[in-house]
Amino acid sequence: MIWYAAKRVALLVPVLLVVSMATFAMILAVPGDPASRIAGPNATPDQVDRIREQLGLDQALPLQYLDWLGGLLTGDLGNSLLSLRPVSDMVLERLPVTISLSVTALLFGTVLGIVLGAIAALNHGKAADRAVMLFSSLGIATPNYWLALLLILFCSLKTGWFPTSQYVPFGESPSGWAEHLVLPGLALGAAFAAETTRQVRSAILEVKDLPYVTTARSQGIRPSALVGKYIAKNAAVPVITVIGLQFTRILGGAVLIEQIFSLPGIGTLMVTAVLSQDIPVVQGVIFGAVCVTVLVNLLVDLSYAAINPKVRSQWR
Amino acid sequence: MALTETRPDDAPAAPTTRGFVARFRRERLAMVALGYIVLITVVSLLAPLVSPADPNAQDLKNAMADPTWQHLLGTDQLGRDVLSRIIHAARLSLMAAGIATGLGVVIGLPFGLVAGYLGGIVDRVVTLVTDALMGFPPILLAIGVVGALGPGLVNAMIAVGVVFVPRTVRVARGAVLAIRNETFLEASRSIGTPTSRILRTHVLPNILPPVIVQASLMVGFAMLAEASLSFLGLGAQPPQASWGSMLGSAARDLSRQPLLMVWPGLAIALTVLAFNVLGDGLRDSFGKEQRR
Repeated sequence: MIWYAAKRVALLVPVLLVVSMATFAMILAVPGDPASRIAGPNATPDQVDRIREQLGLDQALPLQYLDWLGGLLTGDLGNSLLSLRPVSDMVLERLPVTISLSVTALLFGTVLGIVLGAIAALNHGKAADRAVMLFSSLGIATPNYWLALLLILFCSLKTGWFPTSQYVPFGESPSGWAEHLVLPGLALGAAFAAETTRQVRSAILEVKDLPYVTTARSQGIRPSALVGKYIAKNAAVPVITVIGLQFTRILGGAVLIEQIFSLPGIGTLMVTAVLSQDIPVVQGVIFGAVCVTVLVNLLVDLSYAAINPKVRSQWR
Repeated sequence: MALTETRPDDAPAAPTTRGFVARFRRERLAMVALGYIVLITVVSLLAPLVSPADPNAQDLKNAMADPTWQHLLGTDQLGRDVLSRIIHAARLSLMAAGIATGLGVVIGLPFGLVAGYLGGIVDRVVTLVTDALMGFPPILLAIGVVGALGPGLVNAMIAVGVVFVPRTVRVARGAVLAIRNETFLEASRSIGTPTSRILRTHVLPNILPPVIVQASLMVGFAMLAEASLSFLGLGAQPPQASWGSMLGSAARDLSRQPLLMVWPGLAIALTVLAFNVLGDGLRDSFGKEQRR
């Protein structure tokens, strides 16, 4: 298992290198002279030069990249062009908000997805199945920010059940923290729940009628134990994969949800940075997000190996 | 040399169009989705003729009105007819989604084709870059590209197209790998057909079905992505309107006229749903063919 994990981690190095190159290349995509564009139309040549120097644009391209990469390895993502603060500080102080939101959405989506998926699969072809599948198709097609607006309208503005926006740190008031995360978590987790529902349903359908399940059933095992012990374990593998894949979508969706609920997370930081073309911040956020995604995928792969010994043996 | 033109006997029954159409017709839901997509495409193309009012005619005294017979879906913040604006915005939304998807396919397909067929170092490099690009959360990547290029509808389309490139590469490469050692390709190679020609005449037609399915599913996502970018103010800029930007401006007046937010959201959700159902239907109709 350790050998397997080591090999998997070693494979990540080239991928992360390419990711860093792609992220670095974003500065090259800025049309025209990035420095003068970033400085704005009213900047003096002096200011433009200063920005150029700050971005390291006066050096040769490979040097610029190595410089930037060296910074990354030491956790230095550069400084914001606007606030001049280190990007890593800005990201770190906003991270708890985005993590709270993503984990809420993930929890909500996983629980709802597994419950609904199981209901659909165990009632295959019946009305309950069709109703769940309809809900799931709608959930996948509904833009999460539209759902967010509907939730604000019906659960907040009209009824006053939940606060419309803002964020309360957990340390300040745990109940306030939870209360402010319900609607954003629901909005962000809905599409994820819909996707998970489909996967759980088809995973259960796949194993439900396999010979070993039939055998267990004929031995008179209680239905609850049958589902919990025999079916769930084997249906879990594809579901874990999907949860891992969906995580990237949750991170992306968080940008919009944070914007709507005015949560001061990574997403709002990103949007502000994009609108003001604060490229180092954009690069920092994106690189951070990719690292998290890659890490999650690694964990998914490892959990694969932990559940299924066949996967481990392929790597020996 | 007529011989080079004839297909060896064990060539996979090249997707027979008639069988596919017959199967697709049986996919009721997908047919409905296709009908809906054709309908909104035609309506959006004929927008100036079919929309009840001028989408930009303001009537400030009658702003944010509820639906009436004159304005079936009500009016917006500047008193403009919402129905007409939705119809006109459909054109922009559909076009943006179509162009972004097309961009992804046009760039991604050749890479997937060549990497899958040639294998070796080319394949390794393409796969590595694809894996790296797939690591970027889609919406974040699109927002980042817009961040570099600057806000605007064209840049938003490019950004969404960039997101699709690695996905197309992956699907195309996988499909090529599945057939690359088939006898009909070997036969063609052994009589000395140039690689570029093999790719064009033998490999490409055989990998199109999965790529088409992927593309139809991507249109749905492209629409959501463009709407997200426009919602954030990074895509369509006023006076242009897409469903996403309409939703964005409606969000600001949520408490005063909630209906404004309902229509563009409904339009996006229904259309994305239609493209997803169409993609599923296409996959099922092609799928049976592939399981030969």
